[in-house]
Amino acid sequence: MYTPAPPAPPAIGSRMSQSRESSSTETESGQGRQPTRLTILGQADPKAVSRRGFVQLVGTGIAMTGAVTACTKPRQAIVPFVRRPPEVTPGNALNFATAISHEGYGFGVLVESHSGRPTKIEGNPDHPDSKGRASARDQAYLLGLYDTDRNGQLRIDGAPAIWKTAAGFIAARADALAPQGGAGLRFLVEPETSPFIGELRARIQQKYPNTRFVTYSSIADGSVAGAQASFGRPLEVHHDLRQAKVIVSLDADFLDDGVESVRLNREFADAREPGSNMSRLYVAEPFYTVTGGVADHRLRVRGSEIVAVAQRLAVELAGILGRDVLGAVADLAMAEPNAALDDRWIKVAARDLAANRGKSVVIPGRRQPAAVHAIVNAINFALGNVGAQVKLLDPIRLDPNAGPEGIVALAAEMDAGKVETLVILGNNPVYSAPADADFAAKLAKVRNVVYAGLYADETAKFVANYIPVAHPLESWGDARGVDGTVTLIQPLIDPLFSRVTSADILALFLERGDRGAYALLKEFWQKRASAEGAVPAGSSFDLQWEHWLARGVLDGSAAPAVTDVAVDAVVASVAIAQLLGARGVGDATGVELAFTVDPRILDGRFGNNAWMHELPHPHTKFTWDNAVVVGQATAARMGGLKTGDWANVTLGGKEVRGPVFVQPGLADESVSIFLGYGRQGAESVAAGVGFNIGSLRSSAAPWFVRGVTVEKIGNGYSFGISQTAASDEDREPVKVGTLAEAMDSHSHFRETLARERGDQQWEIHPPIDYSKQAYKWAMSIDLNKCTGCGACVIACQSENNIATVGREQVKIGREMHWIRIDRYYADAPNYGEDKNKQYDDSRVVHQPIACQHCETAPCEYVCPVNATVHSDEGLNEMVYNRCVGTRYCSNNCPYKARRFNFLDFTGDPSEVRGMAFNPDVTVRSRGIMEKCTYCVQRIERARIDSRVEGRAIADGEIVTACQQTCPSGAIEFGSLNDKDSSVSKAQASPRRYDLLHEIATRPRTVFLARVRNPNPELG
Amino acid sequence: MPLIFRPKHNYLARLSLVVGGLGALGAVSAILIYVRTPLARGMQDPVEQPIQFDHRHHTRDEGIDCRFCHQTVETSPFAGIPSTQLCMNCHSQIWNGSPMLEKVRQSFIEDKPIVWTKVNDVPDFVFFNHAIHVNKGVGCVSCHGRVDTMAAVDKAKTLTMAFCLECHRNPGPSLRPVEEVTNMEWKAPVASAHGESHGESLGESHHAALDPQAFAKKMVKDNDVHTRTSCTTCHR
Repeated sequence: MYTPAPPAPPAIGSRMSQSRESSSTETESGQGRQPTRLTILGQADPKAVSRRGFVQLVGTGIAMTGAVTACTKPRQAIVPFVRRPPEVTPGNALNFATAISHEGYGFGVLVESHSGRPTKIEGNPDHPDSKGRASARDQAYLLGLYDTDRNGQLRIDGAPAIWKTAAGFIAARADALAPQGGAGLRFLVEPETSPFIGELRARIQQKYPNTRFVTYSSIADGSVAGAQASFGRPLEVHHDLRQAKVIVSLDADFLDDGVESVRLNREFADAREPGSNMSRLYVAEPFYTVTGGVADHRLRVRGSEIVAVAQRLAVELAGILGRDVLGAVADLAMAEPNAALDDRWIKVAARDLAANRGKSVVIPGRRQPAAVHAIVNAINFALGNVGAQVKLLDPIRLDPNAGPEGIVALAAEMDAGKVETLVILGNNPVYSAPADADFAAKLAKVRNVVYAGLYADETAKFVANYIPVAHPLESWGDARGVDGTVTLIQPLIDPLFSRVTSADILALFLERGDRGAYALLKEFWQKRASAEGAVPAGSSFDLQWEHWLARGVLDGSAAPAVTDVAVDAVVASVAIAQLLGARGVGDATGVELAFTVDPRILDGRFGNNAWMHELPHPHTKFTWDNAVVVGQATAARMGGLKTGDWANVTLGGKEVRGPVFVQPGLADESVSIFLGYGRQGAESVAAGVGFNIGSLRSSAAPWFVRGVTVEKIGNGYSFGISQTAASDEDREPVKVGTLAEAMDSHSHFRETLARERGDQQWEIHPPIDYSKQAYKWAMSIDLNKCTGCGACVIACQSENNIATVGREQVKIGREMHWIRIDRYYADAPNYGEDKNKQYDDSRVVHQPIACQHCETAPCEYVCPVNATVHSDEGLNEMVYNRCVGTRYCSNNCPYKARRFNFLDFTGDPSEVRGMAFNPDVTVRSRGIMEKCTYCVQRIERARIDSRVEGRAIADGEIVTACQQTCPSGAIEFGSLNDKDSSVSKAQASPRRYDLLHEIATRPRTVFLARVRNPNPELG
Repeated sequence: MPLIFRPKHNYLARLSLVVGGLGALGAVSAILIYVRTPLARGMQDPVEQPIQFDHRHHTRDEGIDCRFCHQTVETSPFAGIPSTQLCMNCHSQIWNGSPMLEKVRQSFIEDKPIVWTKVNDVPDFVFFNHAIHVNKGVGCVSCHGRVDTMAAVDKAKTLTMAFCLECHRNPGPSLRPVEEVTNMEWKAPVASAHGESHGESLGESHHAALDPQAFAKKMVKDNDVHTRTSCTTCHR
């Protein structure tokens, strides 16, 4: 029963209201709420409520309860529509198609909306890059929508203002600048593919011929410049892995980084089906990425020396394919002659590539300089992969050059006083610009700076005119996907804080009136549709528009592939030689610092997103932190650095202090540090998380720089790590075999698997016969497809209203994720072995673990209140309203799949944050056990729908949240009583095994063993 | 010194023990009885609404079907409270000057929703779905009582877990032909001792007279209803 807070003695009352206030403003931040909890619990806080005060409080409470509420629940309100839109049925969710932006590219998504509030983001099955799947980051946009930190104050001339004032201010600047053709006007923008914005920008350029748009992204790649050098034309290079048999990644995390990653993940997973067509993956990289984790052969190479791998591959391939196609490129002087590389690895990879001409591909990473992209283009062309695995397109992005050169040149102009008005649309350049641009200082030399950003971040602090903008889920717009497919971006909700979009701001330079982005966008597409004849006969533009919005893609808007280009090795080699000279690493020796893109928060743009911070990094497994990540051998050489030591990283007189994390798999003599941490803006979640490496990052060496010193200055730091064990203690929870073993039914591998599945003879509990039930729910997880990316974890978190807890709670093992992804290193020392054993070259495996829904579930026997019981269809049910929090179930769970609410992690969320909750799932409070339910709300919804229609639930009708989003399609769910269901087929696989089979829990979730496809030449 | 307690006081001591024991028992019983009363359960307590809407008039007098206003009851977890627009569909034509409808007109003109007070409510960890119940032949009256006789709607049934389980364990007796779900006065056709039909239904039930058990069985079969007592049927 809910009791309203009673009036209390003043002293206590004021403190209580204080703590309530802080808990409501810091809902997102697990750490921020910690002191509040301690105050309430009365621990370690001298000002806590006294015994006398407590008794008074309780007394008043009881009195008030009896007198006022008479033990009845407070009445709730029902607020019906005034006019119900025909498509809206209260209680039934709707899905809307829109797109979210990855470096300007549109990624098509469907957003689930309950009574007008978006509650979940899923991929759009009609979108070519998504095909219904989404990455962890895509889904985290949802939490960003409900982030109350977006509620920054609009400022003009440093004074609080409203949008109308801001619009007037900008329009006045526009008029004043028009006579000189916009000579002192500059725009700093993010990478963009929008045709609509493109047209606005073209018109501005026309009206103000002397203005300039500078595009900047701190994680821009050099692929277009590389294509210019190799193909002689600026082209966008994209990939298609459906037919790829041999893939060589040169520092490319193509399975988890970039807009293509979701699609490539699926294509790669499909090609990994054990059999004669199974593909093979070689990865050369300086730091463990998701892609590196699933490699058949991984080579640890420092980032700056990847170019040497590319060059030696070219040399080897020139030897095999003939000098006429690649000779000139192979003859270029070695850029990194001193790189100590494993020649055998490169030779074998080259032979494998050559043996699979037209069915192989080399993929360069975003951090690699244009020279590497150009060499790789030449190699792919020589191998006949261009047109097959490598797709070329004319630039989709409005300005494909978003590297640091542009912003440095802009900063120089600002310094010279040539910029009178600077309009910054997004980007947060004060934080993200290279250190040598010294952007914050140069901003002071520009008379008028207008900054439009989502948050009152670092840049907002330095400008007089700040305009908070609308979230992508609140805005109108459009964007193109990797292949050019256009998606209209439509708002899911009336803007919560600000309705301004960058299109609104750009439009002020063209016309008076502030018509809003919707009118402008629709007018643009109407003109374009009539010009291109896109409206079919008998239809109207409005109908066409509705169709586009409903589907999420404009049919046939994909760009045609460019096929009429070739790499002339001789011509290309001249350009490549130039690029090699301009690589920017120089001849410096010593330890290399690699600026690493955090797969969760990227360069800080997800820095205020608690879901992203709490998602453990796929390999290091730390949360809510940044670290100086050092390889094991290198840490030992650096004087025995250990995880938790404090270190100074010094470069050219500048130093950055951070905690050390020793991690296997790094290139020797290199350290990796994530971008995007140590934020100084007004974002409450990002504040105080990690440290910022930005001061060491220059435009000359934006990714790799040599000659840093790492010096231990202290110790005693502890990370919030979700998994501290590196070894599986030889228990082999993840079964791994080679392709040859998997194909041989008498191999030890297959025989082990056969032993570890199915019924046990000595079971204590006789098996229950579920075959008479209509359904027998079960799941299978294919470890051969799982990359450990964490998309399922976030999907689950979003679907099931799972709380975030903050670093301090993660440290003591209280994270709430229903799915945890275990990671084991094959060569890690077991208990009792030498702890200092190095295993930098170890293989790594991942395994998602959620509740296994055991038929003979150990948790159920020990619950004293029957709060966890079995359903007739074999679900292990968790009944929150019965749970009293003994935690016996968790103690008895052999998979450790249960999560306990030690504190009221969700608390009283703000009204805005509360809108993100899925209304079909209970929000749990303190003292409650919870765990994976197989998304029972989706099961029950499907059951009701099917029973209303008088039919059975079809296979594939129930898709759990994790299964729905898994980019590689590793998860299957369905009924085992249907022999043709996909899960029945998966469970019948010869690779199936049951985790902890020996304890006879009869889990309903089973795993499919992982299969490696090593090259016999490398073993 | 005279004794304060004399032997005859033993009687008082024993009596006070008995009275004390009975009192304690009584106090516990009183609480247990109290929570089972309509008062504690918030029943039979007509709720004041912003507009004095009379179901008697609309349902009994005018014969309007429940689903005319509660439109989403067959397709959604929520039965749906009618939009102002729906009220105005009729009341822009009839009684369009009535002072009782002033708030409706105001809501319609100002585009501000009418805020009604919820009468029948279950806890937040209970996920009740109207669509499946209505589609399987559970009558509105089974949970909401005779709304057609209520001047102001009150909570007619306990809506406790025991109330739900009674039917979830043995659905048959609570089922009726699907076309009769909104009929407030429907009664199962019962067979008398002489084999004559005593179907008192005002609705046109053509079901042959059966004994109640056989009729319940028939309903379970006709409406394809199963017992559903797994916890996650309602709690998730």
